[in-house]
Amino acid sequence: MRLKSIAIEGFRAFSSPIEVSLDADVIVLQGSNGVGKTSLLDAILWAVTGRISRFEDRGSPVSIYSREGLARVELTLTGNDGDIVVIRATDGNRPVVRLRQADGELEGAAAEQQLCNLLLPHLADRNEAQAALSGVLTRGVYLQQDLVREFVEDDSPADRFALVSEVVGAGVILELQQSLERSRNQWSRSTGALRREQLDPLTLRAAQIDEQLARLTDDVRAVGVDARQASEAIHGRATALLGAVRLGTPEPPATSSALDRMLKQLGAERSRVERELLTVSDLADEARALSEADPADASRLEALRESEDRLSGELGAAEKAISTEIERLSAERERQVAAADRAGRLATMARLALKELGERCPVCEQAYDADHTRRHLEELIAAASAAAPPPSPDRLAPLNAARADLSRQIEDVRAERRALADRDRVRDRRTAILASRLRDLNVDPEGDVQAQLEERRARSADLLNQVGEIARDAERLSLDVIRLGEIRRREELIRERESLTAQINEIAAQVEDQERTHALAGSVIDGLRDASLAVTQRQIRQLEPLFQKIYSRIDPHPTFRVTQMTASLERGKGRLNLGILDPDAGTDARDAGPLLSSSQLNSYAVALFLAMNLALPTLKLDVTILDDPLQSLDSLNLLGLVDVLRRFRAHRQIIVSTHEDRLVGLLTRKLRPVRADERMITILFEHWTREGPTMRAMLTEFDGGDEPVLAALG
Amino acid sequence: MQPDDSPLTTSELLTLAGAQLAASGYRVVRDVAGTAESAERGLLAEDAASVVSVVVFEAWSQLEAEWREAQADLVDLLSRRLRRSAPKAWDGYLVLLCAGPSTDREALSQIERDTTRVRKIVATGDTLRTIRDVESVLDILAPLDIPKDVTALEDVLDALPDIIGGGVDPAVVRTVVEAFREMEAPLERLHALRSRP
Repeated sequence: MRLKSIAIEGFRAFSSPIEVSLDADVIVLQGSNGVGKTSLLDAILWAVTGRISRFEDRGSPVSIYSREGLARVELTLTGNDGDIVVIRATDGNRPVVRLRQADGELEGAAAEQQLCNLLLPHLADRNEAQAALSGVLTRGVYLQQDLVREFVEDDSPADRFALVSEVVGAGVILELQQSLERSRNQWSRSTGALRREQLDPLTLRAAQIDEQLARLTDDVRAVGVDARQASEAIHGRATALLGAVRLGTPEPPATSSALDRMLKQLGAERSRVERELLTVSDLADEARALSEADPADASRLEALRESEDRLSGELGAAEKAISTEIERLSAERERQVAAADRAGRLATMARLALKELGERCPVCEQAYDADHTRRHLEELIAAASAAAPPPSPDRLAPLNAARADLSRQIEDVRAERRALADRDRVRDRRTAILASRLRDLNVDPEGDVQAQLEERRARSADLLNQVGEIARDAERLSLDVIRLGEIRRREELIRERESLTAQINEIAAQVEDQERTHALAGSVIDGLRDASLAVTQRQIRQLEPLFQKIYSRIDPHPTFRVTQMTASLERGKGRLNLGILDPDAGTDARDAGPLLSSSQLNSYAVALFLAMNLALPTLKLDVTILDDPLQSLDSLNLLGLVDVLRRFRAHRQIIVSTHEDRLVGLLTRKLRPVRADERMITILFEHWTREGPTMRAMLTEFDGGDEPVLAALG
Repeated sequence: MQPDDSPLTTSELLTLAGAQLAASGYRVVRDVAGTAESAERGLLAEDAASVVSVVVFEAWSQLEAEWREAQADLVDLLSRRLRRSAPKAWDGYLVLLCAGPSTDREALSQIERDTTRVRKIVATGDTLRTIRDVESVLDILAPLDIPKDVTALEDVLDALPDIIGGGVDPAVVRTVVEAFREMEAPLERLHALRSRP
């Protein structure tokens, strides 16, 4: 597909509407800087991709002199299937795109998608097709003068790999790989959910059932039991024995809980009869004990009373004797105290007198016998110090002992009398209680109590025995019912377990099957990861000689003559390294940037661009657009580039712009039509006003060619 | 006669140049006499756009001394045969080949960078050792062919079953690719493929 014409209005330098024919093999744009050449080329790019990446986020493409504030570009492309018209417009905010084909018209996203499908059919309907188209056009179709070296200098090896992958069509592998990875992850989540939500609960339920089965009996003894019949029989016996009212269950128990209630009732009845039996037994013992207990002996009581009276008398006499003795002893003690006091006083006075004793009495001054007096005084002092005379014999102790003995004898007699009285009272009380309890049991206390109680005991024992038998039978029935229930439950669980096992096996097989698919997708992803590199490497191996060939033609560098492109995989990401090497030195390839001059690096970048342009097997747009590539090239590079472009003409429609007058002649001469079906348009941009550029187009067609130079020589 | 690894002779250079140009679509005329005295022999070639003169020298000193005469011969030929306004009159190429090595790389470069009158292409024995070397020198005059394998890869997805190794069944890869193209769930398709008997 090639470009046929373009109509531009309000786009960048074109404020007024203008239509330009592009229906030629070569289109040369010439004009000084700032007259709209690049705007025309940008209009082509914008019409196809809707974006100009170097102006991204720096305003809209709408011309500031557009009277309606609207940019509109209508680009006509032509191919084997007829013309395609792309109309793109924007007011700076709302972009509109329309695609007109022979079979109809599309708008908006559908138009974008269809345009991508037409130009990059191998990316048909892929989400990233528009971005890929933009990248391919920017790096491989339209060489913008501001971006000549961007691919070589600024893009990272990973960016270059991604772009080249896209250019050679391998980007689709990456997209397929990513798509498959997303699907695989989702598949994995889905499989996990299947396991978690369906398999795990079933497995858990199976484990619960296994645990329940282990706890349930497998005793089949109760299998033949007719529970209903047994229940009716037991209920009939119990009712006959106890009566329906006491039994409390008018109907034979039909359920475990009803049977449980009846069992409890039988148990209560048995307890009641046991208590009654115990009571009867106790009463019999009591009656027997009371009958064997004799009443107190009256003569003994009389003897005790007489003995108490006698002892009381003797005790009174003993106490009187003790009082008499105590009075005597008190009087004697008073006398002894008085004598001791007098002796003490005399001794005191004697000591005083001894201190004042002289020739004469200090009081009456009479003469006296001092020695005699001193001896007398000393005797008085000594007498006070001498021991008191011994008391008379004490009889109080034997008297007290006698009284205590009498008191003890009285207490013994009285205790015996109280014991005899208490025993009689207890016996009377027990007899009354016994009579009351006997009456409670409807036993006549006045009759033959033992005989009546024995009869009663025998009756109760019989009842207890029968209730016990019924209860045991009921318990056995209850056990059989439990066993039957467990057997039935076991059968149900076994059936459920079998069903579960089938479900588990089915889902487990499904999970395993899905996991196998997951693993298979993993191996495909691994293969795709390597294939992306392999395809790109394979294409780069084809691209590299083309790059080398073009570079050699544009810049026959005397030293760094060999270009190199290598694709590699690092940490799962492809990288494309560009280099250049000196084949004579035998060194490894080095980064071209630091080695080449600016002009040489331009040649290197232009050569790479042209190689990629020719190696675009997937893009259905056979166009090469170069915006002023000749600047900063020396004359040899310039000739080389023009020679290359001449050879490009066989494969591509060429649009090339230059701002230098002198180069227009070179371009038009070198790129002139040399066959009857070739055309060249030269568009001269004469000047620019706010209305837009003033242009003049000249069509050059094949004029029959020059006369063969070698005709005369041949 | 046994081939040796000696430099290509002038005869060989001329023969190879003629063959290469003829293969590139040029009409070739051999044994054209020129005014360059030392030039062993030369040839002229012409296509729709340009005229090429190939002149072969034995030694670098001869080439360095006489290339201007060879250029003058070509310019003279063009001026005699073509109108001045004829585009081809400005599209002459002078190919100067030398069997011996160059002793002055700078001088060689200067000849090439002198783009007045006609474009000069110079190669000497130190870089002309093989047939491929001669083809490379003249490659600039040949059509620019697109490698066949590049154009062949219309859709890389089609080639994937053959590219992917690692024991992955090509049918599996084809299934994934078809699902991708049809925007179907690829693992569902893989699953169905695996379930197929």
